Amino acid sequence: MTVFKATLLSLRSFLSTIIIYFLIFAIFAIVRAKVSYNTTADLYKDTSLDVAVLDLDNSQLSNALIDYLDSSQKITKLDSNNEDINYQAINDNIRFEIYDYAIIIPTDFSEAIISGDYQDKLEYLASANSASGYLISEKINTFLSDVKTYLDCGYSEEDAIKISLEQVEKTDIVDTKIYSNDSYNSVTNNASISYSFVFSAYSCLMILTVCIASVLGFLKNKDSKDRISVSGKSFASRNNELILAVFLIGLGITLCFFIYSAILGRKQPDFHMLLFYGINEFFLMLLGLGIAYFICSITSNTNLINMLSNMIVLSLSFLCGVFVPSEFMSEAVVKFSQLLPVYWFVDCCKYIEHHDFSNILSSHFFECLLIQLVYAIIFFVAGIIINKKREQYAY
Amino acid sequence: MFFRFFSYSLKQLVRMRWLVGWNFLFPLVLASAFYLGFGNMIKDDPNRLDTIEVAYVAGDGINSNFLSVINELSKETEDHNKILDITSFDSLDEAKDALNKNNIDGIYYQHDDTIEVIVSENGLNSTSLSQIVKSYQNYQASFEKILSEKPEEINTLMANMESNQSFIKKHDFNTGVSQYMQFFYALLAMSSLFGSWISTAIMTNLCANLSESGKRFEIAPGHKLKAIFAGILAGTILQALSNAVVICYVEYVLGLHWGAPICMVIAITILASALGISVGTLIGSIFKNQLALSMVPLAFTMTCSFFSGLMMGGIQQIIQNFCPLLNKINPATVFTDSLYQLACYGKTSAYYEDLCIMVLMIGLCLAISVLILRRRNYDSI
Repeated sequence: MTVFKATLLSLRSFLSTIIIYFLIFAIFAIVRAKVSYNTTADLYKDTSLDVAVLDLDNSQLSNALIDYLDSSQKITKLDSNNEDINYQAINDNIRFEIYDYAIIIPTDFSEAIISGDYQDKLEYLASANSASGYLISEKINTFLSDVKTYLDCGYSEEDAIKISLEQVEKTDIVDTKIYSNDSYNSVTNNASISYSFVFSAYSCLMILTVCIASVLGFLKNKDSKDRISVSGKSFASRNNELILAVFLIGLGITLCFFIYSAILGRKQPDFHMLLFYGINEFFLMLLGLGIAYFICSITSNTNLINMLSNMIVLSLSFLCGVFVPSEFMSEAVVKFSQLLPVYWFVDCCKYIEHHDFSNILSSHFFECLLIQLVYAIIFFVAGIIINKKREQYAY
Repeated sequence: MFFRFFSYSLKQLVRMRWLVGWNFLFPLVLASAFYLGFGNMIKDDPNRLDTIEVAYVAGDGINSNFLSVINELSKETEDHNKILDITSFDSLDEAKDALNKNNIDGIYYQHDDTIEVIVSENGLNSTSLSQIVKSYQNYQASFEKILSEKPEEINTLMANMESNQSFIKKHDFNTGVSQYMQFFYALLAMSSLFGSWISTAIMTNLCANLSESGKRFEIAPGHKLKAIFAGILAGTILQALSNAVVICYVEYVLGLHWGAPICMVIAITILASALGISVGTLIGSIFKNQLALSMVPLAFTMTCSFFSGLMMGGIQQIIQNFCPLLNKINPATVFTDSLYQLACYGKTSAYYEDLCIMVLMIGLCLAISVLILRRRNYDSI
């Protein structure tokens, strides 16, 4: 098993690459799992937004307003000790979607409402002309106009706030239903294990392509090649050992991603679908091995392997919905990305996420796996053809 | 002598095809992939409040009050076009059919004195449709309460309802730059840090234990430091050129605006290119293994780029909230932040701080490299 051992040992040189890409995946998966949510469900639920509140007034009215918003939104109270408002820092958090909306309640807010000088008294920050901006502003205006109306009609401040809070609580009940004949909406998922599997497409493919292509490139090195060929091993035995080693490396790397994703998603509702995610990941591994073989047939230069791997895998990831969900892409781009193998890996993850255990083994599931397999074979065949041609021209 | 070193270094670098590919081709390919992937989100923000297409179905007679409220919302406003676009349907089945075909976002179905909202999925549009009914129900409840408890205040109530009062105004920075441009800033940062490959290649050519040309260089009577600085200058020029190509490609071919004058963007990227080259020089002076010289710059660049938001927009802001120091020592984040500050807020103190940090980083990397490289010998006794 000399070739087998040599192949495995040569992987040691790429340990830093494996660690870096795995760490990127580990961090991304944790962050992504925390921020992910799903819009498809068969029960209606109001969208809850992240609202930051800077309350400089700290009055009965401002507290009532915050309590009202807190009943339906996720409220983060900002530090109000500092008199200087750092609008830029708040705006940065809005732009990078840490908050959806930020509201600033000035020191004289309560007095202004009572005295009637209320026009545009509050300030808010939200993405330009955003739907979240409209929604929360509408809620605030509704509540405050109630308070203002009751104050103007002679109620005391305390009564006006109390009646308004009770009233918005009662009128907040609207009969809202979801109607859809889309089969993807059959399962309610607020969180899913699929997010970490989807992102693993990038890191796993990067590690597989860079490491396997570099290891294969190393074995194509004239010195290594000569030393292997003068050994007493037959051509078939050498190749079998090489294939076994490459397959084992691929399996080991993929298994690391699978286990990490499983640990991360152990509390998710679709954890029982792990087997199917694993099958999908296995086909991704075959695709990764195919791409690696294709790249190493082009070059055995480590720098070029890195460049090609980055170009291919990063582009595939951006186009196929690994980093940016395909729902945000234009129709033409989605159609184009359907021609790419990673799209089918991502699509398969979504399919598993939205289906029951009993309904999963459908033609679409197998179609996704088959397309990945076909692409893996295409890359292998292309690699073999390039190698053959290179050998022909070498003589 | 300096010019001769410089021209030789430039020639050496240009002849390395893989290096030219990395620095010129890769950012262009990635920028194109970005554009295809989410270019439409830059031109057309997915969080934007679009007019919500809604059907109104009167099950048992039209509720004129509610209809007038939603008709009011379907008129054009000063801030945006209009909130709702209403289509009346005779039957609920027809409206549901339109909902299934995605022709509308939701249905207001009014029957038995209630208004039912039917939507196809959860989300902001659905919640907004529901909120409109909540606001309507709330006004109705106020009206009934005051009419029953304080009927003498009916005029005050009517005046309040008709006043169209607004308690809240937007604090706007009027940036006009999409938040998704951050990916392109991070791309430029990555491209600049790839300059570290150029300088490790330069260092390989100057070190006797790594290349044949290194042996020839070491025994030559030329000034070593001059040669290193000439190489750094050649690398910076090459890297800056490749960045300028990417900047022009994004601005003029892809049609995406950087948010700042293009010459300013190019000027900042020249600094970033010098930073990438300096980092590479430091790596090249520390590591003496050929594999490490190609792997370490790649690992360093990808890690820094990830934390500057190349793969996940907003990660730099999460870091900013929890560990701002990490953003200050990550060269990719410092660079993206300088572009972001310039595009969104202009030449603020934070912008100048970023530029100063980059200059400091360049100085520090070169100073350490000089300390390591001076009086280098190759004996192994």
